[in-house]
Amino acid sequence: MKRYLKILSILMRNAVIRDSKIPGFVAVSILQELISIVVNIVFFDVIFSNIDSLAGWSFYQVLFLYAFSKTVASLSYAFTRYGLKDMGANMVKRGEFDFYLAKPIDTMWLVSFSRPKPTKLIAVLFYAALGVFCVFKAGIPVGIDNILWFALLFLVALILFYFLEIITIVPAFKLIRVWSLPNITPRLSEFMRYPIGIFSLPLQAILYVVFPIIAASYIPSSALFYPPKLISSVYLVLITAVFFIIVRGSWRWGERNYSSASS
Amino acid sequence: MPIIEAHKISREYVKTSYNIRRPFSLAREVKVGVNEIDLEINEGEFVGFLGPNGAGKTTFLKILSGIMHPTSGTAKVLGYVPWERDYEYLEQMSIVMGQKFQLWWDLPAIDSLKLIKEIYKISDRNYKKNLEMMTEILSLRGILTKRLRNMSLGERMKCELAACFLHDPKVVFLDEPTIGLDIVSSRSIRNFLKETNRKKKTTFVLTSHYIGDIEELCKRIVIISDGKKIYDDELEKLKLKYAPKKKIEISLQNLEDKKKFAHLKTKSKKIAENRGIIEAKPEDIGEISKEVFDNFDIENITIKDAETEEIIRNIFEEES
Repeated sequence: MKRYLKILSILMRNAVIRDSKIPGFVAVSILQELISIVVNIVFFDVIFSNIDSLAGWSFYQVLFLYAFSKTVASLSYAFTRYGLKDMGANMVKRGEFDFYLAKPIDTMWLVSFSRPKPTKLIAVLFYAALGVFCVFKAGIPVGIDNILWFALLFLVALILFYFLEIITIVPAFKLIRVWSLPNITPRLSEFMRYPIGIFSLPLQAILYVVFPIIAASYIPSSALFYPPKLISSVYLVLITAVFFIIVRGSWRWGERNYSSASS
Repeated sequence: MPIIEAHKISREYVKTSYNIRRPFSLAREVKVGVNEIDLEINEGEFVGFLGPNGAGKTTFLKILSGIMHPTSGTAKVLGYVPWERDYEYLEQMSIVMGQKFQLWWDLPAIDSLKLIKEIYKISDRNYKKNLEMMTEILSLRGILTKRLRNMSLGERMKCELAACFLHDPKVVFLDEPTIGLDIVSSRSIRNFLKETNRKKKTTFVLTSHYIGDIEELCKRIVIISDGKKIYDDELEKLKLKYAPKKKIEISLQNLEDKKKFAHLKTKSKKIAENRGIIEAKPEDIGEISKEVFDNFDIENITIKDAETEEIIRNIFEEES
């Protein structure tokens, strides 16, 4: 564990060195995130100027869901997204995965964290700040037990989101290149910003069970605003465990079927 | 006891293609990359793998390094099954691929080496010692702090070698390490490999299209063609087996020399670009050379073995 953290710190440091050589990179990243936040606040404001609540959730609660989903997505962008995307687009196709297989380290972990983007951590700060602001403005009393449940479920949600990303990458082992398949998780993460009640039942079933991306945002957020439900929390942990088994099994299958690229 | 043992290793590739005339099925084409190769290599050996493009050399190396799984067969390297990816095995093995680089493109090489240090759990002492040694032999001073994208191909390859040898591997697979390099860089890399083999008893398996690499580094060679092993023995024995004749070359200075050459008793002779060439069996070489030395000035005569490259080309042509 200590070794993996040390490797991660070196990868992050190397990424900072890399990105700092590009003039204006940080400033442009900050500007881009701020514009995105403002546009979405305006969007929700327009919606809530016509309605009082969305499936029982107030303006600030929905805005919190948005901030929460973006925090999860931004953490993914900061650490694992680009490594996994590169795996889907290039590593198998060009045979660069050879080097990962030849190293005494977990290949899934190393591929995931191989291309971090530390500037995305700025976005994490923005969205986290927006989330805290929304909690205060929502006017719902939040107890310490809510915060603890939320913190725990937030970690589980992050792991689940990571596994959902990997699921979309694994076909690269067989298909050589998965084109836009890795974009599925970020695209579906758009659903995370709304309360589950607004979706039709079949869609709820898909997004809560089959590809449980909504579970990753709705369950932790609910635990913060309402009395934590043990059954939902256990479900989130269980579904994450199931996806862990699927992800590890499919990755091993991928390694076995990896055919590399010609020299 | 062999450090590398492979028994009947085969690897097939399945290529699927879609035919619009048969929309509900995929056509499968099976290509054999490696076909039942047996091999044993002892500790400290430097073995050269030769074969035409697509012969299966790289595939075989990737199987032994644990990158690919074979379709059938068994193998053990340092006592481990390579494709099980035991970390203890991977910590003692390294693979160098001449056409691919593992170091970060936008970073100084030294920053990538620090990452390698942690991945292989190299102690500070060993890291410093090995880096200093490689800096010396590979002339890396001033290069390690350059970003990879600002380096020449030769410099990049040297840094890549440094990355692959930092953890003192016991077995190293080299897949065309000198491809595209100039003579100076190639020589420096060959010297480094030779020194490492001599000092640390590292076992090397090398594939290269440059016969110079093979001749200088490998005592034993394995020839692969169409996935099958067709020769596995010492390089010198290959010359004896496939090129038992020696070549006598005479520089023909003028018309008189050419006439004298035409009157030599030996039958297997030819003239090419003012050079008279005679091919002779070892048992006949004494008699023929006596006649040649009687007729021509000594400084115009050379006796040599057939070129290794020519021998190997002939073997490939025979096989195909």
